[in-house]
Amino acid sequence: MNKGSAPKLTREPGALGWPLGLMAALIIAFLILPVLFVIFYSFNESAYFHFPPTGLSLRWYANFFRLHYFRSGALISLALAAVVTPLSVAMGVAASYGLIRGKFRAAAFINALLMSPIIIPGVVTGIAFMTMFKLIGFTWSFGNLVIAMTLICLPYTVRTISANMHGLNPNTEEAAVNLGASRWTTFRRVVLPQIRPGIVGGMIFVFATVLDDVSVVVFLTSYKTSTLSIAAMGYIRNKDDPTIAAMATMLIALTIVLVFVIQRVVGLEKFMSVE
Amino acid sequence: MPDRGFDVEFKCIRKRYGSIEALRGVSISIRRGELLTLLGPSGCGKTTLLRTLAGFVRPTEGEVWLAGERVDEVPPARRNVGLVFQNYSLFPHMTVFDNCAFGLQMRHLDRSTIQKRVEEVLNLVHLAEFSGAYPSQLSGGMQQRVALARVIAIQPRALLLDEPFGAIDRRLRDEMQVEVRKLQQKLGITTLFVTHDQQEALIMSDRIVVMNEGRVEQEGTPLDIYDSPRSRFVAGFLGMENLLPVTVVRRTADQAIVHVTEGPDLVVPLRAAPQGDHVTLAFRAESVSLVRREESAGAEAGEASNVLSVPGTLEFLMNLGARVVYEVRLPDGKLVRGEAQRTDRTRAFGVGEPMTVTLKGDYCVLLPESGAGT
Repeated sequence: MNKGSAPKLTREPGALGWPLGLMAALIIAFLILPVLFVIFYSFNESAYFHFPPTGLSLRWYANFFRLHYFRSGALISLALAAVVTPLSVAMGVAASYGLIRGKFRAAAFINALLMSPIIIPGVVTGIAFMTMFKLIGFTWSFGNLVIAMTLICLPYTVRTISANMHGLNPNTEEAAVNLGASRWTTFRRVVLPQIRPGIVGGMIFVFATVLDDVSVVVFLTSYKTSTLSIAAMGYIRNKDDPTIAAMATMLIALTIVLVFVIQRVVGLEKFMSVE
Repeated sequence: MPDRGFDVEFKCIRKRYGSIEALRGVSISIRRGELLTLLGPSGCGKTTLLRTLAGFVRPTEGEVWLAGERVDEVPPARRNVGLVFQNYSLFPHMTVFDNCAFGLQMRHLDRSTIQKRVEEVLNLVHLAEFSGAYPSQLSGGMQQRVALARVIAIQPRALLLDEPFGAIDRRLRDEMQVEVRKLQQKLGITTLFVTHDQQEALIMSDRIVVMNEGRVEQEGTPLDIYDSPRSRFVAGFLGMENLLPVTVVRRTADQAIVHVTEGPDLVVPLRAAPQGDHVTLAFRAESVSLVRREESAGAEAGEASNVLSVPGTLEFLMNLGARVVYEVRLPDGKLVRGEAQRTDRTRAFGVGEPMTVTLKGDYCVLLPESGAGT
């Protein structure tokens, strides 16, 4: 609807300026401050928070690596990420390609089905998996985690990869076939390189989800296969010292490194601009 | 299959999509080295027909022959035809060189052969110095030249151009049309060209096939199609804006005398004239001339001749820079559209003024009364 008076797109400074600025500042503060606090806290010498700090130390980092509890949790989480990431990316690529290029009636339904883990609360999913695995007698705990996490992560890879694939010109695939390429070669040499940003984006989501999921995982871990997040939960239930902050700081560092690597490989702005 | 010098033959092609019939029995042959244009409005089936040759559309009925081989069951990757799209469709993640090398790599040629062939085709399209560039760094016209080089590199049995200039701006388009036509003639490559632009079809083609609603309306050389359309559809599509219903008074061996409006009759040469007394008189706006009534030499009534001057009222006048277009209402209510060079004389024209319209029979064509040649 285009009425006589067009909405003003440019605003004079001053009118709404400072409340908006304050709002923005507050939002940024709430996003950044906890992170900064955690980093600061992790280097704190004493077990309890003092300001100003009584001294700087790496003892909580040492403590993290000293505890078998955390070491095995970190190993399990990394192993899980190493298995789940390629699985959900492969499934995400296949599903996206099928949903976008294959024109079939059930596409919308299948898409909704693939997205459902996002909508269903993690607790429900977790209990459902636990019950089902018990029922069929599938008791290999790591296997349970892999299956559950792959499913939980699928919406992220399908989303990022489909968004990327929507932007591809389908004629480039026809052009490749016209030049003599088989379907597989076309996929490998024309489609895959073009959806690399979506794949990398999906990988990051999967990695992050596997590392921090608690609600689903809590129902599926055994004492032996506790993930890092479960280990952290167990730890803070008993102790209140900066070891968890040290863990969080290392995860933050890992994330930053990851983002830098990705920016190098594909260009961050390219895959952040999904759709 | 006897080879009659045809490189491409479509035999009675039909294509149905559910209840929609995109092609309704189309038969077309293209001679070796010829550039044949499929001309028609969007939805007429021209692209569908081209895609049956590329292999991306499987005809419901009919046969597609290519260089003496029936190809409608051959998968598209093995047809060895070069398809150029309207939206260029270069591989965005590959350089110009790699784009052109792609088809050759699919044919497992050795590196030095590929290198040589790619250099050759890039020279042909004057883009040798851009071989390391990515498509996004090139203009639309350059990208389309790369797309052309990419398919020429595989030495295709036929070149298929699907509205290749549609996305290129007007000024560059004229240049590209000439360049592509020259290249096509130089290489002597059999070409199927699809467009909805009559001007482009006239410039590029050895032969034009006008299509409408999944059928061939008319086939002929550009001048044939331009001068002697055989249906109202073709006449209208090629810019004969005036389609007046008239009555045939008398026919001789090579001409017809038709009654256009009140006053004397008009003599029109007979080409492929339709049967019956009620026909359509078609002529271009440029062939109409117009003067103010007071300046005309006085319409001489009586004898039918090949020039008809009748009175009319100027109803509409629009200046288009160098030209003017106008509409004149004849006494019996018919409307004639005309176009003329803008001069001092046309400047004096005023809407509502009495005028004299002159038609020349030699520039007129008789067509069936209505319908599209069915």
